[in-house]
Amino acid sequence: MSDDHSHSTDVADAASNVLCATPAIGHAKNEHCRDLLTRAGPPGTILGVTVASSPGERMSEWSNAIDPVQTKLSFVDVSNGGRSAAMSVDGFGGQHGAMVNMVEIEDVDLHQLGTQISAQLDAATDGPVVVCLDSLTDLFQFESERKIHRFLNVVTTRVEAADAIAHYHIDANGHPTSTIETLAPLFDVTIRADESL
Amino acid sequence: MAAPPDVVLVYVPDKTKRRSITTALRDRWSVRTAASLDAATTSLDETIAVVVVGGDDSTAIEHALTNSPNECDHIQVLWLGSNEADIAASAVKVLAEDVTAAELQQTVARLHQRARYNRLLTTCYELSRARSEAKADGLSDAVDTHDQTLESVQRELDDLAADIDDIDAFDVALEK
Repeated sequence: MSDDHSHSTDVADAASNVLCATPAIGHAKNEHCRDLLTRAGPPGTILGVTVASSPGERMSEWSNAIDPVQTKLSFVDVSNGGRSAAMSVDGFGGQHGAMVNMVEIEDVDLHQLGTQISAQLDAATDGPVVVCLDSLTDLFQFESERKIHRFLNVVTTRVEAADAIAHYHIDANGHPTSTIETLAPLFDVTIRADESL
Repeated sequence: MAAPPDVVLVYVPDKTKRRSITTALRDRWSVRTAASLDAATTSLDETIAVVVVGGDDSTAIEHALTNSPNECDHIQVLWLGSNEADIAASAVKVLAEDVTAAELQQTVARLHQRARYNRLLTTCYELSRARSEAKADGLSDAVDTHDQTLESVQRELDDLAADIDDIDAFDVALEK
């Protein structure tokens, strides 16, 4: 059951699943993301789930927080998730020798997305295993609140069963309060960051 | 939370086959039988978890499920037959007509799990929405009550999820 905490990622330390509601504009999203990635120490494995954002973009944001040589990186990437032409599934040149496992899904298909996330969790051998899903707002472009709620119910359970930790990004200003409140019980902690961060 | 009734409806027009299927299932579940589409349609209600359909055409039962005035979204359909062209879109499982009793029971048990998982996911969503509305209205006691019920529902879901594979879990969640 979600505890409502603003700003702080410290309260998420022991949480398996964290909802991270931050404005789409500004630095809060990426600052919280970096904090949540490393809340259990240096991650052994990171599973990134990208819809409109690209794996390259996420890697770039994480570069100061993780050692891509020491951390195993996997992505489940939705190719047609509403990505702008400016963001491609770029290579990882400049990431100092990072080896990345990439699973491509052509369209937003929650069934495929969910089973791939679960498969990657099962395959992960180096802990702590950290999942970053970016973003629920992107999924809402394609699916209903009801369906996303049911999807997340399965995913959050799978994350916990795998002894992994996960955070899920959502645009704090992109949805009515009722939507975020309806999703909140699925998570152990909901972080809400205002624009001042 | 008390477990809902999980009745199996056996809709098989052929009397001998209907009896055989009912015999295989009735030691584990409450079973209703229907020899005609009208009888099957009348039997569809929220107590039914699984419908076992035999005969030449299962598409009519799919229509009945879709148009039933009762809560039937969670119902899982098992089709026994050999003509794949007649398989209804809603048939989650298809088994051969001469399936063994053991395989039939195993499959119905799996479908019961799916039906229960479906109901719990729906309940969880509805409670979450109700909680959200109560919070918006400043009804803290109602929020607390919903929180307690949600915790109980989520525990049941977590227990059930441990026994359901990914394909079934996401099939049910995404209503495929």
